[in-house]
Amino acid sequence: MSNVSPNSSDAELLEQIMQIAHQIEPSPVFKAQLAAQLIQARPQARRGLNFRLRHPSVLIACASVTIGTVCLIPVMTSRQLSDWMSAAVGKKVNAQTLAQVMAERQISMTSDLVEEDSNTGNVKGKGNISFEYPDAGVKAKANEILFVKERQEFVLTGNVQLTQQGKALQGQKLICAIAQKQCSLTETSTDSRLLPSSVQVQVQVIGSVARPGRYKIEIPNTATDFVSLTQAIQTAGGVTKTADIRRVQIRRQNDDRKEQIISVNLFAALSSVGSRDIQINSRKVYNDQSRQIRSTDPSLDVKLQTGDIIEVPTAKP
Amino acid sequence: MDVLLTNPSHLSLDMKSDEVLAKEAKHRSAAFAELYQRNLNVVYRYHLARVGNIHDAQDLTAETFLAAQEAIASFSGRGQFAAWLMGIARRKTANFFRRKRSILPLEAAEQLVDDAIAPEEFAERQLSLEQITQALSYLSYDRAEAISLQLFSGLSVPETAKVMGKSEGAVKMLVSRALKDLRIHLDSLSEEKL
Repeated sequence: MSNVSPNSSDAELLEQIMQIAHQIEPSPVFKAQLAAQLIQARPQARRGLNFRLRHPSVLIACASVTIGTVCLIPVMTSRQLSDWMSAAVGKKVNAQTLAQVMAERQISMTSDLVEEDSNTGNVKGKGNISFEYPDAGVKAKANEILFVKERQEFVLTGNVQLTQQGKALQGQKLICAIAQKQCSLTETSTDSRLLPSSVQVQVQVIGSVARPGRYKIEIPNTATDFVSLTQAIQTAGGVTKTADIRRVQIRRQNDDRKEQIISVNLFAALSSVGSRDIQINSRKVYNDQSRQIRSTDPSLDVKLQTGDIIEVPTAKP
Repeated sequence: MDVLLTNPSHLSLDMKSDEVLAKEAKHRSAAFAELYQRNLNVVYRYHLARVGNIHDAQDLTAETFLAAQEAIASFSGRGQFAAWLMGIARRKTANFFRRKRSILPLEAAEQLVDDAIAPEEFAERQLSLEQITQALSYLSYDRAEAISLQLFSGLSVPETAKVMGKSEGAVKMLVSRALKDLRIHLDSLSEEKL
Protein backbone atom coordinates (compact mmCIF):
# COMPACT_ATOMS: atom_id res chain seq x y z
CA MET A 1 0.00 0.00 0.00
CA SER A 2 2.97 2.27 0.39
CA ASN A 3 3.09 2.96 -3.32
CA VAL A 4 -0.37 4.48 -3.40
CA SER A 5 -0.17 7.88 -5.03
CA PRO A 6 -1.81 10.97 -3.59
CA ASN A 7 -4.37 10.85 -6.39
CA SER A 8 -5.36 7.30 -5.61
CA SER A 9 -5.80 8.24 -1.97
CA ASP A 10 -8.23 10.94 -3.05
CA ALA A 11 -10.09 8.32 -5.01
CA GLU A 12 -10.25 6.03 -2.02
CA LEU A 13 -11.38 8.81 0.25
CA LEU A 14 -14.03 9.72 -2.29
CA GLU A 15 -15.17 6.14 -2.46
CA GLN A 16 -15.36 5.81 1.30
CA ILE A 17 -17.34 9.01 1.67
CA MET A 18 -19.69 7.98 -1.12
CA GLN A 19 -20.22 4.60 0.48
CA ILE A 20 -21.12 6.27 3.73
CA ALA A 21 -23.33 8.80 1.95
CA HIS A 22 -25.29 6.02 0.28
CA GLN A 23 -25.98 4.42 3.60
CA ILE A 24 -27.71 7.54 4.89
CA GLU A 25 -31.46 7.37 4.79
CA PRO A 26 -34.02 9.35 6.69
CA SER A 27 -36.02 7.35 9.17
CA PRO A 28 -39.35 5.98 7.88
CA VAL A 29 -41.12 7.95 10.59
CA PHE A 30 -39.59 11.22 9.44
CA LYS A 31 -40.30 10.27 5.84
CA ALA A 32 -43.98 9.75 6.55
CA GLN A 33 -44.20 12.78 8.80
CA LEU A 34 -42.80 14.97 6.07
CA ALA A 35 -45.22 13.44 3.58
CA ALA A 36 -47.98 14.40 5.99
CA GLN A 37 -46.64 17.93 6.27
CA LEU A 38 -46.54 18.25 2.50
CA ILE A 39 -50.10 17.03 2.17
CA GLN A 40 -51.33 19.54 4.66
CA ALA A 41 -49.30 22.36 3.18
CA ARG A 42 -49.97 21.77 -0.46
CA PRO A 43 -51.51 24.74 -2.25
CA GLN A 44 -54.52 22.76 -3.46
CA ALA A 45 -55.45 21.83 0.08
CA ARG A 46 -55.17 25.38 1.30
CA ARG A 47 -57.50 26.60 -1.42
CA GLY A 48 -60.25 24.36 -0.13
CA LEU A 49 -62.43 26.51 2.07
CA ASN A 50 -63.51 23.64 4.21
CA PHE A 51 -60.14 22.02 4.57
CA ARG A 52 -59.88 21.42 8.26
CA LEU A 53 -58.24 18.54 9.96
CA ARG A 54 -60.32 17.31 12.81
CA HIS A 55 -57.38 15.95 14.67
CA PRO A 56 -54.29 17.38 13.04
CA SER A 57 -52.07 15.93 15.67
CA VAL A 58 -53.34 12.41 15.13
CA LEU A 59 -51.00 10.28 13.14
CA ILE A 60 -51.67 6.64 12.76
CA ALA A 61 -48.69 4.46 13.27
CA CYS A 62 -48.58 1.58 10.89
CA ALA A 63 -46.17 -0.96 12.17
CA SER A 64 -45.00 -3.64 9.85
CA VAL A 65 -43.78 -6.71 11.60
CA THR A 66 -42.58 -8.36 8.43
CA ILE A 67 -40.39 -5.67 6.96
CA GLY A 68 -39.67 -3.79 10.11
CA THR A 69 -40.82 -0.39 8.99
CA VAL A 70 -43.03 2.12 10.60
CA CYS A 71 -45.16 4.51 8.68
CA LEU A 72 -47.27 7.35 9.83
CA ILE A 73 -50.18 8.45 7.76
CA PRO A 74 -51.92 11.64 8.66
CA VAL A 75 -55.53 12.51 8.84
CA MET A 76 -56.38 13.11 5.21
CA THR A 77 -59.18 13.16 2.76
CA SER A 78 -59.74 10.21 0.54
CA ARG A 79 -58.47 12.18 -2.43
CA GLN A 80 -55.30 12.91 -0.56
CA LEU A 81 -55.11 9.29 0.34
CA SER A 82 -54.99 8.18 -3.25
CA ASP A 83 -52.52 10.88 -4.21
CA TRP A 84 -50.16 10.19 -1.41
CA MET A 85 -50.48 6.57 -0.59
CA SER A 86 -47.49 5.80 -2.73
CA ALA A 87 -45.38 8.49 -1.16
CA ALA A 88 -46.19 7.46 2.33
CA VAL A 89 -46.07 3.71 2.18
CA GLY A 90 -44.55 2.79 -1.13
CA LYS A 91 -46.02 1.38 -4.30
CA LYS A 92 -46.68 -2.06 -2.96
CA VAL A 93 -46.53 -2.95 0.63
CA ASN A 94 -46.43 -6.50 1.85
CA ALA A 95 -47.16 -5.97 5.45
CA GLN A 96 -49.86 -6.70 7.86
CA THR A 97 -52.10 -3.81 8.73
CA LEU A 98 -49.83 -1.40 7.00
CA ALA A 99 -52.28 1.08 5.67
CA GLN A 100 -54.63 2.39 8.24
CA VAL A 101 -55.80 5.72 7.10
CA MET A 102 -58.03 8.12 8.89
CA ALA A 103 -59.66 10.42 6.44
CA GLU A 104 -60.98 13.86 7.12
CA ARG A 105 -64.30 12.19 7.62
CA GLN A 106 -62.75 9.68 9.96
CA ILE A 107 -62.85 6.91 7.39
CA SER A 108 -60.43 4.22 8.30
CA MET A 109 -59.37 1.05 6.59
CA THR A 110 -56.85 -1.67 7.13
CA SER A 111 -55.67 -4.32 4.74
CA ASP A 112 -52.86 -6.76 4.20
CA LEU A 113 -51.81 -5.26 0.89
CA VAL A 114 -52.24 -1.84 -0.64
CA GLU A 115 -51.74 -0.95 -4.27
CA GLU A 116 -52.20 2.33 -6.03
CA ASP A 117 -52.95 2.69 -9.72
CA SER A 118 -50.95 5.75 -10.63
CA ASN A 119 -52.96 6.31 -13.80
CA THR A 120 -56.38 6.36 -12.23
CA GLY A 121 -55.43 7.30 -8.70
CA ASN A 122 -57.50 4.39 -7.46
CA VAL A 123 -56.28 2.59 -4.37
CA LYS A 124 -56.91 -1.09 -3.85
CA GLY A 125 -56.59 -2.98 -0.60
CA LYS A 126 -56.53 -6.76 -0.47
CA GLY A 127 -56.93 -9.22 2.36
CA ASN A 128 -58.54 -8.87 5.77
CA ILE A 129 -60.22 -5.59 4.99
CA SER A 130 -61.58 -3.68 7.91
CA PHE A 131 -63.47 -0.54 7.02
CA GLU A 132 -65.11 2.06 9.20
CA TYR A 133 -67.18 5.01 8.05
CA PRO A 134 -68.67 6.70 11.11
CA ASP A 135 -70.54 9.36 9.13
CA ALA A 136 -72.57 6.60 7.54
CA GLY A 137 -72.64 4.59 10.74
CA VAL A 138 -70.96 1.72 8.95
CA LYS A 139 -68.39 -0.83 10.04
CA ALA A 140 -67.54 -3.58 7.58
CA LYS A 141 -65.20 -6.43 6.86
CA ALA A 142 -64.52 -7.78 3.37
CA ASN A 143 -61.93 -9.46 1.17
CA GLU A 144 -61.14 -6.45 -1.02
CA ILE A 145 -61.62 -2.73 -1.00
CA LEU A 146 -61.27 -0.31 -3.87
CA PHE A 147 -61.23 3.44 -3.56
CA VAL A 148 -62.48 4.84 -6.86
CA LYS A 149 -60.99 8.30 -7.03
CA GLU A 150 -63.15 9.64 -9.84
CA ARG A 151 -66.41 8.72 -8.16
CA GLN A 152 -65.12 9.24 -4.62
CA GLU A 153 -66.46 5.87 -3.63
CA PHE A 154 -65.26 3.00 -1.53
CA VAL A 155 -66.28 -0.36 -2.97
CA LEU A 156 -65.93 -3.39 -0.71
CA THR A 157 -66.27 -6.81 -2.29
CA GLY A 158 -66.16 -10.43 -1.29
CA ASN A 159 -67.95 -11.73 1.78
CA VAL A 160 -68.93 -8.31 3.05
CA GLN A 161 -69.96 -8.37 6.67
CA LEU A 162 -71.51 -5.17 7.77
CA THR A 163 -72.89 -3.65 10.91
CA GLN A 164 -74.87 -0.46 10.85
CA GLN A 165 -76.50 0.88 13.97
CA GLY A 166 -76.54 -2.49 15.61
CA LYS A 167 -77.84 -4.38 12.57
CA ALA A 168 -75.69 -7.13 11.12
CA LEU A 169 -75.88 -7.63 7.35
CA GLN A 170 -74.07 -9.77 4.84
CA GLY A 171 -73.58 -9.24 1.13
CA GLN A 172 -71.19 -9.35 -1.79
CA LYS A 173 -70.68 -5.68 -2.49
CA LEU A 174 -70.85 -2.56 -0.38
CA ILE A 175 -70.57 0.84 -2.04
CA CYS A 176 -70.05 3.90 0.11
CA ALA A 177 -70.31 7.28 -1.58
CA ILE A 178 -68.49 9.98 0.30
CA ALA A 179 -70.54 12.88 -1.04
CA GLN A 180 -73.82 11.27 -0.05
CA LYS A 181 -72.46 9.91 3.24
CA GLN A 182 -74.40 6.81 2.33
CA CYS A 183 -73.66 3.18 1.66
CA SER A 184 -75.58 0.52 -0.23
CA LEU A 185 -75.18 -3.20 0.09
CA THR A 186 -76.01 -5.50 -2.79
CA GLU A 187 -76.63 -9.23 -3.13
CA THR A 188 -77.62 -9.46 0.45
CA SER A 189 -79.92 -11.82 2.28
CA THR A 190 -81.47 -9.01 4.28
CA ASP A 191 -81.99 -5.30 3.56
CA SER A 192 -80.45 -4.27 0.28
CA ARG A 193 -80.56 -0.59 0.99
CA LEU A 194 -79.06 0.87 4.05
CA LEU A 195 -80.48 3.75 5.90
CA PRO A 196 -79.03 7.22 5.58
CA SER A 197 -76.79 7.92 8.51
CA SER A 198 -78.95 10.61 10.01
CA VAL A 199 -82.29 12.33 9.79
CA GLN A 200 -82.42 16.07 9.55
CA VAL A 201 -85.33 18.52 9.42
CA GLN A 202 -85.58 22.29 9.55
CA VAL A 203 -88.52 23.66 11.45
CA GLN A 204 -89.71 26.85 13.09
CA VAL A 205 -90.93 26.88 16.68
CA ILE A 206 -92.99 29.86 17.74
CA GLY A 207 -95.20 30.86 20.67
CA SER A 208 -94.77 29.93 24.30
CA VAL A 209 -91.38 28.32 24.18
CA ALA A 210 -88.18 29.49 25.80
CA ARG A 211 -86.30 30.21 22.57
CA PRO A 212 -88.61 30.67 19.60
CA GLY A 213 -86.85 30.42 16.26
CA ARG A 214 -85.80 28.32 13.29
CA TYR A 215 -83.95 25.12 14.09
CA LYS A 216 -82.13 22.47 12.17
CA ILE A 217 -82.56 19.24 14.08
CA GLU A 218 -80.49 16.18 13.25
CA ILE A 219 -80.64 12.82 14.94
CA PRO A 220 -78.92 9.50 14.21
CA ASN A 221 -81.07 7.35 12.00
CA THR A 222 -82.52 4.01 12.96
CA ALA A 223 -85.50 2.21 11.54
CA THR A 224 -87.81 3.76 14.12
CA ASP A 225 -86.29 7.19 14.61
CA PHE A 226 -87.68 10.45 13.32
CA VAL A 227 -87.49 14.05 14.38
CA SER A 228 -90.53 14.56 16.56
CA LEU A 229 -92.65 17.41 17.82
CA THR A 230 -91.37 16.96 21.34
CA GLN A 231 -87.80 17.08 20.12
CA ALA A 232 -88.46 20.34 18.35
CA ILE A 233 -89.98 21.87 21.47
CA GLN A 234 -87.10 20.52 23.47
CA THR A 235 -84.64 22.10 21.04
CA ALA A 236 -86.45 25.40 21.47
CA GLY A 237 -85.77 25.25 25.18
CA GLY A 238 -89.06 23.74 26.30
CA VAL A 239 -92.38 25.42 26.98
CA THR A 240 -92.94 28.48 29.14
CA LYS A 241 -95.09 28.49 32.26
CA THR A 242 -97.96 29.99 30.33
CA ALA A 243 -97.93 27.45 27.49
CA ASP A 244 -101.06 25.54 26.59
CA ILE A 245 -99.76 22.19 25.49
CA ARG A 246 -103.29 20.87 24.81
CA ARG A 247 -103.54 23.00 21.66
CA VAL A 248 -100.14 22.74 19.97
CA GLN A 249 -100.38 23.25 16.24
CA ILE A 250 -98.18 22.13 13.40
CA ARG A 251 -98.60 24.08 10.18
CA ARG A 252 -97.39 22.17 7.18
CA GLN A 253 -97.28 23.02 3.49
CA ASN A 254 -98.40 20.07 1.42
CA ASP A 255 -97.11 19.24 -2.03
CA ASP A 256 -100.00 21.19 -3.56
CA ARG A 257 -98.88 24.21 -1.50
CA LYS A 258 -101.97 24.09 0.65
CA GLU A 259 -101.44 24.56 4.36
CA GLN A 260 -102.35 21.69 6.59
CA ILE A 261 -102.84 22.27 10.30
CA ILE A 262 -102.20 19.40 12.66
CA SER A 263 -103.47 19.88 16.20
CA VAL A 264 -101.73 17.98 18.92
CA ASN A 265 -102.79 17.54 22.53
CA LEU A 266 -99.42 16.98 24.09
CA PHE A 267 -101.00 16.85 27.55
CA ALA A 268 -102.92 13.76 26.51
CA ALA A 269 -99.84 12.20 25.11
CA LEU A 270 -97.96 12.83 28.30
CA SER A 271 -100.82 11.51 30.41
CA SER A 272 -101.07 8.35 28.38
CA VAL A 273 -97.69 7.13 29.50
CA GLY A 274 -98.82 7.22 33.10
CA SER A 275 -96.93 10.22 34.27
CA ARG A 276 -99.59 11.79 36.42
CA ASP A 277 -97.20 13.87 38.37
CA ILE A 278 -95.87 15.68 35.35
CA GLN A 279 -95.31 19.33 35.95
CA ILE A 280 -95.99 20.41 32.46
CA ASN A 281 -94.93 23.97 32.98
CA SER A 282 -91.56 22.96 34.34
CA ARG A 283 -89.29 22.96 31.34
CA LYS A 284 -86.81 20.47 32.71
CA VAL A 285 -89.36 17.87 33.65
CA TYR A 286 -91.13 18.40 30.39
CA ASN A 287 -87.96 17.75 28.42
CA ASP A 288 -87.30 14.59 30.36
CA GLN A 289 -90.88 13.52 29.78
CA SER A 290 -90.51 14.22 26.06
CA ARG A 291 -87.80 11.70 25.86
CA GLN A 292 -89.94 9.26 27.80
CA ILE A 293 -92.69 9.61 25.24
CA ARG A 294 -90.39 8.76 22.43
CA SER A 295 -88.86 5.79 24.09
CA THR A 296 -92.13 4.43 25.40
CA ASP A 297 -94.38 4.87 22.42
CA PRO A 298 -93.13 6.89 19.46
CA SER A 299 -96.52 6.70 17.80
CA LEU A 300 -97.88 9.16 20.33
CA ASP A 301 -95.46 11.79 19.10
CA VAL A 302 -95.69 13.54 15.74
CA LYS A 303 -93.17 13.12 12.99
CA LEU A 304 -92.00 16.50 11.71
CA GLN A 305 -91.08 17.47 8.18
CA THR A 306 -88.81 20.20 6.93
CA GLY A 307 -90.73 23.46 6.72
CA ASP A 308 -93.12 22.69 9.58
CA ILE A 309 -94.07 25.58 11.82
CA ILE A 310 -94.82 24.54 15.38
CA GLU A 311 -96.90 26.92 17.41
CA VAL A 312 -97.26 26.48 21.15
CA PRO A 313 -100.10 28.78 22.19
CA THR A 314 -100.38 30.66 25.45
CA ALA A 315 -102.95 29.30 27.89
CA LYS A 316 -106.01 31.48 28.30
CA PRO A 317 -106.49 32.79 31.84
CA MET B 1 -49.41 1.62 -29.07
CA ASP B 2 -46.25 3.47 -30.10
CA VAL B 3 -47.98 6.71 -29.33
CA LEU B 4 -48.76 5.53 -25.85
CA LEU B 5 -45.20 4.52 -25.26
CA THR B 6 -43.71 7.74 -26.51
CA ASN B 7 -46.15 10.15 -24.96
CA PRO B 8 -44.86 10.95 -21.45
CA SER B 9 -48.35 11.67 -20.18
CA HIS B 10 -49.27 8.04 -20.72
CA LEU B 11 -46.31 6.65 -18.85
CA SER B 12 -46.72 5.59 -15.28
CA LEU B 13 -45.22 8.02 -12.80
CA ASP B 14 -42.20 5.93 -11.98
CA MET B 15 -41.19 5.82 -15.66
CA LYS B 16 -41.14 9.56 -16.10
CA SER B 17 -38.16 11.84 -15.74
CA ASP B 18 -37.96 14.28 -12.88
CA GLU B 19 -38.43 17.14 -15.28
CA VAL B 20 -41.64 15.71 -16.77
CA LEU B 21 -42.93 15.01 -13.29
CA ALA B 22 -42.09 18.54 -12.17
CA LYS B 23 -44.25 19.92 -14.96
CA GLU B 24 -47.09 17.60 -14.02
CA ALA B 25 -46.69 18.43 -10.35
CA LYS B 26 -48.05 21.90 -11.05
CA HIS B 27 -51.46 20.30 -11.52
CA ARG B 28 -51.14 16.84 -10.02
CA SER B 29 -50.01 16.25 -6.49
CA ALA B 30 -49.24 12.58 -7.16
CA ALA B 31 -46.43 13.73 -9.43
CA PHE B 32 -44.91 15.78 -6.64
CA ALA B 33 -45.29 12.79 -4.35
CA GLU B 34 -43.19 10.77 -6.78
CA LEU B 35 -40.56 13.53 -6.91
CA TYR B 36 -40.52 13.56 -3.13
CA GLN B 37 -40.07 9.82 -3.07
CA ARG B 38 -37.18 9.97 -5.52
CA ASN B 39 -35.30 12.92 -4.13
CA LEU B 40 -35.82 12.68 -0.40
CA ASN B 41 -32.64 10.74 0.24
CA VAL B 42 -30.29 13.03 -1.64
CA VAL B 43 -31.71 16.17 -0.07
CA TYR B 44 -31.52 14.63 3.38
CA ARG B 45 -27.96 13.40 2.80
CA TYR B 46 -26.88 16.83 1.69
CA HIS B 47 -28.38 18.51 4.74
CA LEU B 48 -26.98 15.92 7.12
CA ALA B 49 -23.53 16.35 5.63
CA ARG B 50 -23.77 20.10 5.95
CA VAL B 51 -25.22 20.47 9.44
CA GLY B 52 -23.94 17.29 11.01
CA ASN B 53 -26.94 16.37 13.10
CA ILE B 54 -30.15 14.53 12.35
CA HIS B 55 -32.51 16.99 13.98
CA ASP B 56 -31.40 19.99 11.92
CA ALA B 57 -31.06 17.84 8.80
CA GLN B 58 -34.68 16.78 9.14
CA ASP B 59 -35.85 20.35 9.67
CA LEU B 60 -33.95 21.58 6.64
CA THR B 61 -35.15 18.68 4.51
CA ALA B 62 -38.72 19.49 5.43
CA GLU B 63 -38.17 23.19 4.69
CA THR B 64 -36.66 22.29 1.34
CA PHE B 65 -39.56 20.13 0.18
CA LEU B 66 -42.20 22.49 1.51
CA ALA B 67 -40.56 25.34 -0.38
CA ALA B 68 -40.20 23.19 -3.49
CA GLN B 69 -43.87 22.23 -3.40
CA GLU B 70 -44.86 25.84 -2.97
CA ALA B 71 -42.62 26.97 -5.83
CA ILE B 72 -43.06 24.06 -8.21
CA ALA B 73 -45.00 26.26 -10.61
CA SER B 74 -41.88 28.38 -11.04
CA PHE B 75 -39.81 25.45 -12.27
CA SER B 76 -39.32 26.28 -15.92
CA GLY B 77 -38.43 22.77 -17.00
CA ARG B 78 -35.44 23.93 -18.97
CA GLY B 79 -32.85 22.83 -16.43
CA GLN B 80 -32.40 19.76 -14.30
CA PHE B 81 -34.96 19.32 -11.55
CA ALA B 82 -32.27 17.98 -9.21
CA ALA B 83 -30.25 21.15 -9.61
CA TRP B 84 -33.34 23.28 -9.01
CA LEU B 85 -34.22 21.32 -5.89
CA MET B 86 -30.69 21.38 -4.54
CA GLY B 87 -30.62 25.12 -5.16
CA ILE B 88 -33.51 25.41 -2.74
CA ALA B 89 -31.76 23.06 -0.31
CA ARG B 90 -28.64 25.17 -0.53
CA ARG B 91 -30.52 28.37 0.26
CA LYS B 92 -32.11 26.69 3.26
CA THR B 93 -28.69 25.65 4.50
CA ALA B 94 -27.34 29.15 3.99
CA ASN B 95 -30.24 30.57 6.00
CA PHE B 96 -29.61 28.00 8.69
CA PHE B 97 -25.99 28.97 9.05
CA ARG B 98 -26.92 32.63 8.94
CA ARG B 99 -29.32 32.06 11.80
CA LYS B 100 -26.89 29.97 13.77
CA ARG B 101 -23.90 32.13 12.87
CA SER B 102 -21.80 29.07 13.31
CA ILE B 103 -19.93 29.07 10.05
CA LEU B 104 -16.30 28.48 10.62
CA PRO B 105 -14.27 31.30 9.15
CA LEU B 106 -12.00 30.61 6.25
CA GLU B 107 -9.07 31.15 8.56
CA ALA B 108 -9.89 27.87 10.22
CA ALA B 109 -9.06 26.08 7.05
CA GLU B 110 -5.97 28.15 6.41
CA GLN B 111 -4.61 27.40 9.86
CA LEU B 112 -4.35 23.76 9.03
CA VAL B 113 -0.98 22.27 8.74
CA ASP B 114 -0.47 20.26 5.66
CA ASP B 115 0.29 17.09 7.51
CA ALA B 116 -2.26 14.84 5.92
CA ILE B 117 -2.10 11.21 6.83
CA ALA B 118 -0.32 8.89 4.52
CA PRO B 119 -2.44 7.77 1.59
CA GLU B 120 -2.05 4.10 2.42
CA GLU B 121 -3.65 4.64 5.82
CA PHE B 122 -6.86 5.68 4.22
CA ALA B 123 -7.25 2.35 2.56
CA GLU B 124 -7.24 0.66 5.92
CA ARG B 125 -9.39 3.14 7.74
CA GLN B 126 -13.08 2.87 8.18
CA LEU B 127 -14.52 6.30 8.34
CA SER B 128 -17.68 7.05 10.17
CA LEU B 129 -20.39 9.47 9.18
CA GLU B 130 -19.83 11.37 12.38
CA GLN B 131 -16.15 11.84 11.56
CA ILE B 132 -16.94 13.04 8.07
CA THR B 133 -19.60 15.53 9.08
CA GLN B 134 -17.36 16.86 11.80
CA ALA B 135 -14.49 17.21 9.37
CA LEU B 136 -16.81 18.85 6.85
CA SER B 137 -17.76 21.43 9.44
CA TYR B 138 -14.15 22.64 9.49
CA LEU B 139 -14.05 23.21 5.76
CA SER B 140 -14.61 26.56 4.15
CA TYR B 141 -18.20 27.17 3.15
CA ASP B 142 -17.74 26.72 -0.59
CA ARG B 143 -15.56 23.66 -0.26
CA ALA B 144 -18.05 21.99 2.07
CA GLU B 145 -20.85 22.92 -0.30
CA ALA B 146 -19.10 21.55 -3.35
CA ILE B 147 -18.22 18.23 -1.77
CA SER B 148 -21.64 17.82 -0.12
CA LEU B 149 -23.48 18.51 -3.35
CA GLN B 150 -21.31 16.13 -5.30
CA LEU B 151 -20.80 13.28 -2.89
CA PHE B 152 -23.90 13.36 -0.75
CA SER B 153 -26.46 14.62 -3.26
CA GLY B 154 -24.92 12.90 -6.21
CA LEU B 155 -24.89 15.94 -8.45
CA SER B 156 -22.53 15.96 -11.40
CA VAL B 157 -19.83 18.60 -11.76
CA PRO B 158 -21.93 20.65 -14.24
CA GLU B 159 -24.97 20.41 -11.94
CA THR B 160 -22.93 21.41 -8.91
CA ALA B 161 -21.47 24.29 -10.88
CA LYS B 162 -24.92 25.48 -11.84
CA VAL B 163 -26.28 25.23 -8.32
CA MET B 164 -23.29 27.08 -6.91
CA GLY B 165 -23.13 29.62 -9.70
CA LYS B 166 -19.53 28.76 -10.48
CA SER B 167 -17.61 27.36 -13.40
CA GLU B 168 -17.01 23.65 -13.65
CA GLY B 169 -13.29 24.23 -13.25
CA ALA B 170 -13.89 26.13 -10.04
CA VAL B 171 -16.04 23.29 -8.70
CA LYS B 172 -13.40 20.71 -9.52
CA MET B 173 -10.86 22.84 -7.71
CA LEU B 174 -13.13 23.25 -4.70
CA VAL B 175 -13.72 19.52 -4.48
CA SER B 176 -10.05 18.75 -4.81
CA ARG B 177 -9.14 21.18 -2.06
CA ALA B 178 -12.03 19.97 0.05
CA LEU B 179 -10.70 16.43 -0.13
CA LYS B 180 -7.29 17.59 0.87
CA ASP B 181 -8.72 19.49 3.84
CA LEU B 182 -10.89 16.57 4.78
CA ARG B 183 -7.93 14.23 4.95
CA ILE B 184 -6.15 16.64 7.27
CA HIS B 185 -9.14 17.04 9.55
CA LEU B 186 -9.98 13.37 9.58
CA ASP B 187 -6.44 12.68 10.59
CA SER B 188 -6.51 15.13 13.45
CA LEU B 189 -9.89 13.83 14.55
CA SER B 190 -8.60 10.28 14.70
CA GLU B 191 -5.57 11.48 16.66
CA GLU B 192 -7.87 13.17 19.17
CA LYS B 193 -9.62 9.88 19.67
CA LEU B 194 -6.42 8.07 20.48
